[in-house]
Amino acid sequence: MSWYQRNKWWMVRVMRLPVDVFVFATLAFFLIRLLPGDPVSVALATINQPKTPELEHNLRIQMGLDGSVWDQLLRFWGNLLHGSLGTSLDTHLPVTREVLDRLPATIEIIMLGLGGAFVVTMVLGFLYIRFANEGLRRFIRLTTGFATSVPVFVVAIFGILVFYVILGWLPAPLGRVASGQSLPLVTGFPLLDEVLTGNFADLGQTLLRYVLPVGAMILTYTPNLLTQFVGGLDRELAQTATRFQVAAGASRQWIYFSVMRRSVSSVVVIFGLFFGSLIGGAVTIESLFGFGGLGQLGIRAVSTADFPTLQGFMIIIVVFCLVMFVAVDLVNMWLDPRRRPGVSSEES
Amino acid sequence: MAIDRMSVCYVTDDGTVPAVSDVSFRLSTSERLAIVGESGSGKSTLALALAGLLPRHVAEISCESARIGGRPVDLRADKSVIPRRREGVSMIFQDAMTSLDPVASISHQFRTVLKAGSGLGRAEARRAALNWTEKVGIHEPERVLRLRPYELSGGMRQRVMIALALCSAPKALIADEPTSALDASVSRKVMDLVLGLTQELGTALIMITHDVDLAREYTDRTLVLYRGEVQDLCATAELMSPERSSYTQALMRCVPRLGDHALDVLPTLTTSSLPVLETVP
Repeated sequence: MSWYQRNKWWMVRVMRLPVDVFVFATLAFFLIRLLPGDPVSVALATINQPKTPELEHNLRIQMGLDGSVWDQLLRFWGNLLHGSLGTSLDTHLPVTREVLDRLPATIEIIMLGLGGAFVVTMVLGFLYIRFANEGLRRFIRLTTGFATSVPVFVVAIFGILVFYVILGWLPAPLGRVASGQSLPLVTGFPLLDEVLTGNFADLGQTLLRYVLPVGAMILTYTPNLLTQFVGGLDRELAQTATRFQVAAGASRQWIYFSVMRRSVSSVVVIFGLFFGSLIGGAVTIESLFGFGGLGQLGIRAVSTADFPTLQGFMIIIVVFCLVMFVAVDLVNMWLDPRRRPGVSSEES
Repeated sequence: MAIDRMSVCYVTDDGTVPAVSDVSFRLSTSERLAIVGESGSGKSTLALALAGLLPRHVAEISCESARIGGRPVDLRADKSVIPRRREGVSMIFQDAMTSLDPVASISHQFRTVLKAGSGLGRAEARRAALNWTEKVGIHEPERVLRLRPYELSGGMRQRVMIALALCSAPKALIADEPTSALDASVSRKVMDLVLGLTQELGTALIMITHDVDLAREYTDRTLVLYRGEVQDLCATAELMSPERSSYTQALMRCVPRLGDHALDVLPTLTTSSLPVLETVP
């Protein structure tokens, strides 16, 4: 097989991404315009200036809302090709910059929280098939019962109450470093920047301040991922494939690995879904702990009727979700080649 | 292999349910034993229990004494979630598609077995795997080793499964309906292959089947099972003898013969209506 044939499966999937982004960005364009009310008049109402027709006209141009919808769409597409999403009405900065400044910090907190939940899920899943201890297995099955039953902010508030207010073990939920200090800025990922600039005192502070939000996310999302995993494990344990591996004398490590690998695909899907939704949805955690993030940008854009920022925010979230779905597809196609396009699993 | 008074009970929410009771048999090197019976007679349960594939939360196994390869073994069910293999006993199943790891390459599946069983290194394991794929009659072993089960035909998968089960040179091979999923011509070739390889390795063969003809052709002795109890244990050639138990005679009458023109309706087992396990007194 040629290199192209062997690698076609992921290349085709990756090449579909820009097409998807284009379609969904266009959808976002129309969705925003379906919102009731004229954003220009809303913006006018919040500006402390005499409302002249020139001001309204200028504002309309600034928002990209002059001309017909089709003119706007063409301009929107043109800007999109240049990677431009317009200029914020509130801060007069490019929307892409506003978004990209905040995105890394949000990704960092999600990676830690959701990634941590994934790791805990894998560990618990391994214990579930490795040890026959009925108490342990019952505990793991009980844990899955908490899936989607407790929202993350409840856990977070409870954590703040216990560990900050009552016990005083953890610092106040007021940002990533002690007030008055500021974070170094290299890549935008706070922890990484602190390591890169050798700012280890700050790194310690930030890590300490991450304990509660990340812990809350792990506690909340592990049951969701674990439900999928334990379901898959129970199914695969009963499979003839597992029996035959034992009967043929395959090594124990391989059997554990193989059973887990065959069970993990639905966990990856759920992980991707949560990751996508948290890009905007991490705002609850971020607000609670005084972290800046992408979600806060979205909220600010709504409250200040900052139309271009809202549109850009939506598109970035859509792009991010789509990238995440591609990643999920690629991981699952890598785990199980039968999922690759053009591979038939059943011929007999 | 020598098994004395072995019983298996399934563990259910309402207590245990007997599936196999007081089965005893002996099997010498290279000997071939068929276990025949209707569906639900306990033959598969017996096979799984012998291979050690029933974990303790599923079944309870008791046995007066058991020896495999001259060494006494404890047949009692394993505590682990994934049961441990019975040393020296391999098992093959009816459907090779669901028996092989669907996503691992054939060479990888060989490697994990050869590494665990004989402690072979990567290169040695690869040589052994090539050797075994050739032995089971697969052309182009180099290419086949790179493939995954879904890229093979049904017959090839069956051959790969046989090679995997035998490459650790087990003392006994249990074949649970090894050919039911194959068509008649392939089925005969696969059986010849299993027979040849087990004879070569000196591996005893236990074949679970409901096909009396297959048993007659490929085995020395036959154990007839009904409701988990042994009805007969005799040389396969003597299955038709009038000295056999009434159940065995009834079972034999159900085997259709070519040239039996007198039969318009195939005989059925009227003596046996297999009850649901739980209702057996």
